Amino acid sequence: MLARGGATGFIPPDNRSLVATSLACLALLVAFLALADGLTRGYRLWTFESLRRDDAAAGRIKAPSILLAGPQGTTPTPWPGPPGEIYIVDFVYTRCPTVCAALGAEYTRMQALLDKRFGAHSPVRLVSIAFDRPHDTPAALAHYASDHRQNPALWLLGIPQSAAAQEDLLRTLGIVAIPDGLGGFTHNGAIHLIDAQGTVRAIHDLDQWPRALDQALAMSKGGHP
Amino acid sequence: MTPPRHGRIARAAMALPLLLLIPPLRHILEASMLTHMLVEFPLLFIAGGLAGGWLTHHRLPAGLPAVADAHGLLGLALASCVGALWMIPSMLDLSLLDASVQASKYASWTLCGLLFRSSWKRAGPVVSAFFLGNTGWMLATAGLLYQEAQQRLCVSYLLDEQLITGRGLVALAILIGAFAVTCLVTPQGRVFNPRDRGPSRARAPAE
Repeated sequence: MLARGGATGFIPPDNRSLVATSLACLALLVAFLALADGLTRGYRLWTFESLRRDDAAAGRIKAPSILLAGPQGTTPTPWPGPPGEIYIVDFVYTRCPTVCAALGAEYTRMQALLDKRFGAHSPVRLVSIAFDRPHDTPAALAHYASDHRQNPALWLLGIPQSAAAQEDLLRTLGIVAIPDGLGGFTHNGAIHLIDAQGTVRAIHDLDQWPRALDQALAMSKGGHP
Repeated sequence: MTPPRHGRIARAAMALPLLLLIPPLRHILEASMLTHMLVEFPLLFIAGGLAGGWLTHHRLPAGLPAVADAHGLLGLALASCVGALWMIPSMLDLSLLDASVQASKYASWTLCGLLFRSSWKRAGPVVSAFFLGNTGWMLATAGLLYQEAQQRLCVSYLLDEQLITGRGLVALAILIGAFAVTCLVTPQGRVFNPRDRGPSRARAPAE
């Protein structure tokens, strides 16, 4: 290869150029590694969702307070609320035949557990926020509430009153819902634990609801079960 | 000299990053993970390269200083870093959700393409083959990881798209690997030498 290069008149760079290039490449490598280290938080977190959950665990996400329109009328999000309260928040769309329906069933179970332990004055409350604006109508939400035996004292269900408020909430929390190609949505609307100040304290996968409930109880003024 | 028609095409391609500032046009490319990674990134890179050619044609600076870019090493290393950075799944999502990351994406790929042009000319066959081989290996690794992942790596894309994109990355890696071999075995030792320069001038660093 070198002989071929020489045959075409290749003039090798002088030593000064090689040293300068080596140093520049080294500086570039160090800068790149530092950048990648920062972006992945120590080469641990490679996805947006893992970064989001890390932000939540560190209390870096603050949910805005918005108005929710639901079966019981228009009410604000429970945050800001009395100190010591924790809200278990999920994101649903009423046409969802799979995950949201299963999650609705889990919410029904959590509601029963909270009702049994605290009655109507639970320090842990459930919030389901719908996001499919064309389809999550008041009637659809009322039907969803009825299907899952929603108790308004323990479980708030509603859709953001305005599209702008919804956009603000979802963007702030880092929730992205995309069409799934089958008429529904795929989204990262896992179970969020939000405290009375509106700070997201933890995010759990949907199937980890028992752990989410335990953590919510531990963080609330009600203490660990 | 750059022929007039070539110049017009180059100028049109150089405007591509500006067109992506129009949301509907950007959405066409970024709505799918496959086109985001395998069409938009290369287009930005090529637009930068053409801009580099236009600047060179007008005797304007369009590359890294030769003294710090022996054999094109710095420019090729920069291209490797930019490529690796945009293989990170979180960067794809952030570029869709955060305007500053989005701007960084356009700027980094375009600038990378612009600087790459002169560095590629400075690189010999072995350096070129090493760079291409390394790029192919990186793309193949990312592509296999994208296919292996059981969960979505990007909140903006479906699992199916991730699988298809993984296959696309592996296919591109094979193509680039073949190109790397071509660099080593062609009689000139290099392909894609600039038309307007002889081999001796193309490969010699600025003295």
